[in-house]
Amino acid sequence: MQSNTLEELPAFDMQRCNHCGACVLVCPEGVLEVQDEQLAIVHPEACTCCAACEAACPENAIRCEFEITWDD
Amino acid sequence: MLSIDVLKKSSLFSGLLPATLQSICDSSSIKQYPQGATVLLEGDPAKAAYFVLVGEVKIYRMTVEGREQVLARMGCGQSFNTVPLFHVNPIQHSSVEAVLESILLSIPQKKFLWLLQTCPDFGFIMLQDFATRLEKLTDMVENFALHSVRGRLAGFLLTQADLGNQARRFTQDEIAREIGTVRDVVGRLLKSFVDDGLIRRDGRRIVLLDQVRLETEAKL
Repeated sequence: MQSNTLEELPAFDMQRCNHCGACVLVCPEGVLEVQDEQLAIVHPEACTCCAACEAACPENAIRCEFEITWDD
Repeated sequence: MLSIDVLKKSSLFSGLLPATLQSICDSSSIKQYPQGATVLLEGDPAKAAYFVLVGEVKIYRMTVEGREQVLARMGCGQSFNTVPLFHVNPIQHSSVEAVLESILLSIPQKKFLWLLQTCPDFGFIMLQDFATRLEKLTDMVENFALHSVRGRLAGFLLTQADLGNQARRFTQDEIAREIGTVRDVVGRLLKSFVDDGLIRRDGRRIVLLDQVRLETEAKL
């Protein structure tokens, strides 16, 4: 399994996040959890950057930016 | 403080006569905009022409449902909001947002028109700028009228990959706003491209694998 660095994960804006848990429900890999009313990235290594969390977030608090590049 | 030396560094102004540069300095002001700041709103009165000295802005229109279409991105040495100024009581045709921290030079309508009438070299570069923009808009019309969303996405990926280090990163929603569709469609098409072996997803990288087939897709 790949090991994601923080830079490779979606960017979470905790100021905008209202901890509704919509991203937790849609994440197919179980990367996210809401713990003590805070969004927690519990399994960063499992993130595939599918961007489902970004699409589900009603507060636009998640950004999953992609670099578009040629194969090396 | 705006000076002739600052203007000379801009690719748009670098070839202008010193007297013209001085006239622009005397007629204009500069302002810094943080990333994400709204510069202009569609429908507001158009009061000035703008020139990007540093940074990048996007020019866009938005539907009442909130769907956005990016019409152009303007970087250093490019102008915007010049076209409406030729009308009496002009209205801004589009909204403008700073996508990077930007420094913009603005020239009020009356002074902009005066510069065009009194400085032929300024008038010529503005005509060149209009011609370039007309060509780009014509290409955009062709792209939207004659190509499928799948083709437009393939073309967008090819264009961005060719930019190399100058390319910026895009969310799927931002890609949708560039090619005239919605995020869900972009997500489905990217998955389809992966299944067809045209691209692969590598974390937060979209890696283009088959140039020939992507170019064929871009023509459809």
